[in-house]
Amino acid sequence: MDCNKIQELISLYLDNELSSQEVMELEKHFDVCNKCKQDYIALKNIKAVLSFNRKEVGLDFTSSLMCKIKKEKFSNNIISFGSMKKKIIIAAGFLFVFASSVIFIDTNKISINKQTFQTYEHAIEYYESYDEDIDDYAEYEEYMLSMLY
Amino acid sequence: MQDKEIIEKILEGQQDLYSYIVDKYKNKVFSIIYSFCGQTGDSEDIAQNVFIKIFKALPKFKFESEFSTWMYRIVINESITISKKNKQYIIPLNVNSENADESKNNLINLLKSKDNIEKQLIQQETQQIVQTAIKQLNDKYKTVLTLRDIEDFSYEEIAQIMNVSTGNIKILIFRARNRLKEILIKGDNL
Ligand SMILES: [Zn+2]
Repeated sequence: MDCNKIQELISLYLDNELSSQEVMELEKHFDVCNKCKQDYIALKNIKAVLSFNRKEVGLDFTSSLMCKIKKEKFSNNIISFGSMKKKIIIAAGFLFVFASSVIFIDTNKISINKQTFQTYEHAIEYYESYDEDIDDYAEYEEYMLSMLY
Repeated sequence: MQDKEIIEKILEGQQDLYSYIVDKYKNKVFSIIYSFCGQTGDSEDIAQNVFIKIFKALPKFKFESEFSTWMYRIVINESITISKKNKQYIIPLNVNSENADESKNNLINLLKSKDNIEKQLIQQETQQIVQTAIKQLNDKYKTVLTLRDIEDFSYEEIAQIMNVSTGNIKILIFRARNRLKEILIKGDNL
């Protein structure tokens, strides 16, 4: 097996996603190729270092959060003017999705289009439930676009 | 009780039951936020606000997917938004810390040579270097690595949360790890 193929397998090896046959081939390669072995060690250690980033919240996290939620309930009935603006932007988002779907169908990229739509549907779901700045939406839209292209 | 049953009861008015959901997911949610936002601001406060947003969004949950899948999407989107807002507060390590160069070299040697890295060997500065390196990744890479290596989710779970195929997840994880290795070992932008 050549080194390029091995490189692809290393990541799967770290996650125990290889068949026993592939594992054997990989380990055989490590015996003869120091470069791939070094890469494997580095990646294994990076994975380990990342796992050290697991964090735990403080003891009163849940109780203080539930207090905040109870307080919020009283101010829930105030309808913000911002939500109206949001609906207009969301409508614009739909138009965008519609427009882009025409383009995508033209170029036979329907599967990408489907994903766009799901993402936007999610974006709408997400932003309808928020009482924050309208700036958020622009940022989110920018992010979604960056995921696409 | 299953998540969906609890959510149904919360929506029927038993809002105190939300504390079960929070207890179940708080550390995972907190770790995701920490991975994206690091020490910019108070991560616990941010996590609480995200849980409040999830609570307010519950009526929009359509019971079509697992609750956790739906919830993690919100957490990731929120983390990305917050991390972008906080970008200006990230202080480059090489300017800030006198020991940064030394720590960086130690970390690189450690990553290359040690057969099994232990948590005790990783000093706080080197943890920060890793944190800074993660920040250099694009959002997709950051998301897959956080979900896989920090949260320990399976490929299938990650695929559901990110709404792509498991085949794509394999490729994304492979690329993300190699990119992180490049950043850490070559020292790009650190
Ligand atoms: Zn090789």
